[in-house]
Amino acid sequence: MNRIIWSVLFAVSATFAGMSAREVMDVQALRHKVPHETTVMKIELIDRRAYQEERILRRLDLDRGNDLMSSLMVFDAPADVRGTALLTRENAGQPNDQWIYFPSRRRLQRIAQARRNGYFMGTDFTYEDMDPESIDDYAYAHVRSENINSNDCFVIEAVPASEKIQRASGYGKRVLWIRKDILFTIRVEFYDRNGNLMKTQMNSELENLQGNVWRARRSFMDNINKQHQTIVEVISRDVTTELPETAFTERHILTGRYMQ
Amino acid sequence: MSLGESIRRQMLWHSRHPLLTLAVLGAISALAFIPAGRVRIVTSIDSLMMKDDPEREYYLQTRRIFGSEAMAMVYIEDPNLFSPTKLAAMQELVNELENIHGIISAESLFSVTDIDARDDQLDIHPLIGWAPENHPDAAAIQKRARAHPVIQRLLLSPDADATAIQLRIDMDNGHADDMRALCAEIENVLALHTGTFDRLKQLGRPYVIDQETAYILHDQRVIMPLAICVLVIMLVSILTSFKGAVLPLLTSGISILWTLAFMGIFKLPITELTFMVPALIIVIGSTEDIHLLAEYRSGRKAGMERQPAIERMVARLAIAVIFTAITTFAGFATIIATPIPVLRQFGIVASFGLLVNPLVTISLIPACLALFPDHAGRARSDTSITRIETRVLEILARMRRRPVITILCVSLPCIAAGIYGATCVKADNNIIAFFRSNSPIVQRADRMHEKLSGTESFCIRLDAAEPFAFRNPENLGYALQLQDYLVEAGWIDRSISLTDYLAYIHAALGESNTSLPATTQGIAEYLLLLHRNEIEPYVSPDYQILNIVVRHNLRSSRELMPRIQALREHIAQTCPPNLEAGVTGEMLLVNKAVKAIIAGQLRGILVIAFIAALLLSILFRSVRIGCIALVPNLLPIGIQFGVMALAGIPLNTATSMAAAISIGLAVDDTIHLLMRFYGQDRNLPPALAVERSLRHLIRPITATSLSLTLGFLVMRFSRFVPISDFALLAAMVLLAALVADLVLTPTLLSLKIMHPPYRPETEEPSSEEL
Repeated sequence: MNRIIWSVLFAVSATFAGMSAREVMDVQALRHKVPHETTVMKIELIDRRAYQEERILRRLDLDRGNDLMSSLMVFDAPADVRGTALLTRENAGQPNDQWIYFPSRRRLQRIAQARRNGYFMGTDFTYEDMDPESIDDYAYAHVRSENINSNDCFVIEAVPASEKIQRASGYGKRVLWIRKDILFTIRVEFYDRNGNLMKTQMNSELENLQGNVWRARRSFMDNINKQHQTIVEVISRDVTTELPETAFTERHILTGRYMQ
Repeated sequence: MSLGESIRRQMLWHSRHPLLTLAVLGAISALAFIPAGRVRIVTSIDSLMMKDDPEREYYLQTRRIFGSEAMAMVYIEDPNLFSPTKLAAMQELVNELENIHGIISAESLFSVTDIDARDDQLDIHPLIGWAPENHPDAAAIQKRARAHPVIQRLLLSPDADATAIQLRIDMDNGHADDMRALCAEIENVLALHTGTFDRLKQLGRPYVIDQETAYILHDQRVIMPLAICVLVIMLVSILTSFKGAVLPLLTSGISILWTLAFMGIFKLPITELTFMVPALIIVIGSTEDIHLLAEYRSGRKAGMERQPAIERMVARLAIAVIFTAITTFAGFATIIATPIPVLRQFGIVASFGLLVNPLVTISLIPACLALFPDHAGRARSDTSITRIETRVLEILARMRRRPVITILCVSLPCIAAGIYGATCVKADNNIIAFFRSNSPIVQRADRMHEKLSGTESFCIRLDAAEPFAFRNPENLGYALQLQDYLVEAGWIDRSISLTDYLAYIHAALGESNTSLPATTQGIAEYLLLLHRNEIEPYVSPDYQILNIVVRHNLRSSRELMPRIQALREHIAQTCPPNLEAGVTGEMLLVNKAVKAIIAGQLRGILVIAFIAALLLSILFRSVRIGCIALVPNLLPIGIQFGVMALAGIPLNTATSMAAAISIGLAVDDTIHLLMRFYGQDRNLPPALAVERSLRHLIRPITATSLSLTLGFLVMRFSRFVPISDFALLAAMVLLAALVADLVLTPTLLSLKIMHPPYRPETEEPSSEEL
């Protein structure tokens, strides 16, 4: 039995091994999708003096079909930012819609999409980093293979595919390390337009949710420029509970139901 | 055995064992090369602050929380600053500067978050994420930048033609000790962009430290050779022999080497003050050499053999040499008591050097005179005096015939000048005040002040009892009120705090009714829009301590400290009970040291006056004589204060030493004069004794005083303003003391009150002299 499983895995790996960078990205984008996902995570912000600040974030993701996602991120702690929310809706062939909600202002504010390189809620992730990978917006190149922690990886370079994307992006280039066996990104390096390394993201403590779907329980973003770090640790993850599409509407937020 | 006898025996021993003496001196000097080579130039702002100042710990704690307010800065000015090419070059420059080892972060137009909430869209992004590629984009960035309130006058001039890159320095990992290297690295980066901008200049802490060190090296290159030239000229003119000039140079050279070794052993650095010690040793140390050599030559001219001439020299001058050495040493030693490290180091090094110098003199000069053959030369006999000297002596004699008028004529102007000066002279202590107004450092700082904000800064620190207190609108409101107070006061260029960022977001989101959000929740939500790095210098991570950074251009403590006092009083009256407020900053601590400078000045004068009076009293076995003889040396201090008041010279780390040092030096002439009067000339009638003493000493006293005056004037060429002022003041005091010694001391000696039945340990006057 084991021999059969290994043969299949080898065959799959061999198939991945022959793929172009773009094909790897296409397969990866589909491979780890689930229709509904609710994740509660702890975000640790660490400054250059090692002072830590903690936030609890609840993230709801919904696959609306046609490869289009909606997501809602809600701060549950600390108390003074509880209820602050970010709603993102992926659009086909258009820029995503994104709104931020501040409970004290009781108003949803649309986030401009022209530039996405501002930092997200004091973390070292930018709004751009929070978006699902828009594969058509980037040109991918398989630069080499590399072994990281005994994991054979594709090393894929992603550069903005157009002038427009380049101007909107905060990065000149990203380099992704994608495990060949499960097609999961375990490391990303972010470079500026001059080729200087800006940030490094490491995804670790991988868990297999179901079938080919994998997730990282821990994500570490090291902002070299700002000497600041963000650690995201998953507290709980639920891919079984269905999420209604109404949970991703402006009305749902404005009526306060998103906190129930 | 008395001290005088002991010194005499020692000097004679050296003259009888010259080879052994030279061998010992040579061996010590050879060993001294090793530690002397370890001496390093170290200039730091810390050395200008008072040690053990409790406010210093408060400042250091503030620095640990918020980082140092002392930064490296790059000033950029260009009328087309916001063109695509200039912005691209600027971005490259920022990246290169950020990559320098020792730089924590760079605050620039490229690190600023721009928040735009127009058309119901919230746009949060770096003000300049990437340099624009066309002029319309560049113009749009310029428009946004000019509308950004947080960066106004901090990172951008109102005309948008000047900007600054503020580089935060890692002060905790040894970089604070190597500011010159940091400055050089920054300069290397700037050199790559030469010609890109109209002005591209470095400012800030590393540049100041680098310039200080460069000035020290310059001064050493200029002042040392000049001091040697002055000494040689004086020696040749006095002794009419080039050979005669060699010995004082040799004693100075050995003393300097030993002093450097002392510095090396005790890790005392070359600073903006200790660098002048070698020149001081050359100038001051040579005076006793002049007296000794003049006396020796006088004996040789009188037909004496070498050894008898040495013995006469020793008999007549041993006590004077040692006592004058003690007063000179004491003048410098008074400085050691100061709590200001840079002054204390100078006091230690200078007093050591001037303690060692007479020791070298009393061993080397008898040994060399005994060992090396000499010629009588063409020197005049010491009894023959020039026409000018005769004329001066006649004038002095006439003045002594009206002692009261003479005493009043000399004393009253000095006292009046002293009273006037004491009321007008102000103390000042500031690192920038070391530089001349036309120096690049001052000009760059002035330009930056004109276009952006001054390079001077301090902090207002607000401490709350509870964490997250500075997410409370009331507490932030107080910080805002303090900032408004400073703006109204009108003397600051800019203040910046967390409130500026919150107010900016508040306004950007269209909330124009209030300056800040009304609720803690509102503030916390705004904080989510900021990266911690942006607000790190202004609020502690737990939001318990708030920091308001104030930029200004007041470099003088005279101008700054009263305003700081007013600010403190305002805070004391307005600070809510749940907050504790403090005003701190590196430069405030430096400025605070003015009190120590004033105290040091007074202490120095009193201590040296006491020591000089004590020594004179011991030497002449009369407290009355000791005190009265001191008067001519104290009066020139009045002249010093008068000159300081008229010329606007402040009392600072360097000028505060002038009076004490000058008294210590000036009293040397008094000792020589009194030694002669109460020694060889004692059996003569007082008027004749005064005349004879003056006739004998007018030339060496004038020569040594002029030598010292010229020596100090050489230091006038220092690029450091306080050193230059110190040199002028010391020279003036010495000249005034010379006049007082020639006019007032003989007049006082002609009074009955100064005629005790005492004679010190000197030989009988020779028949030739009688």
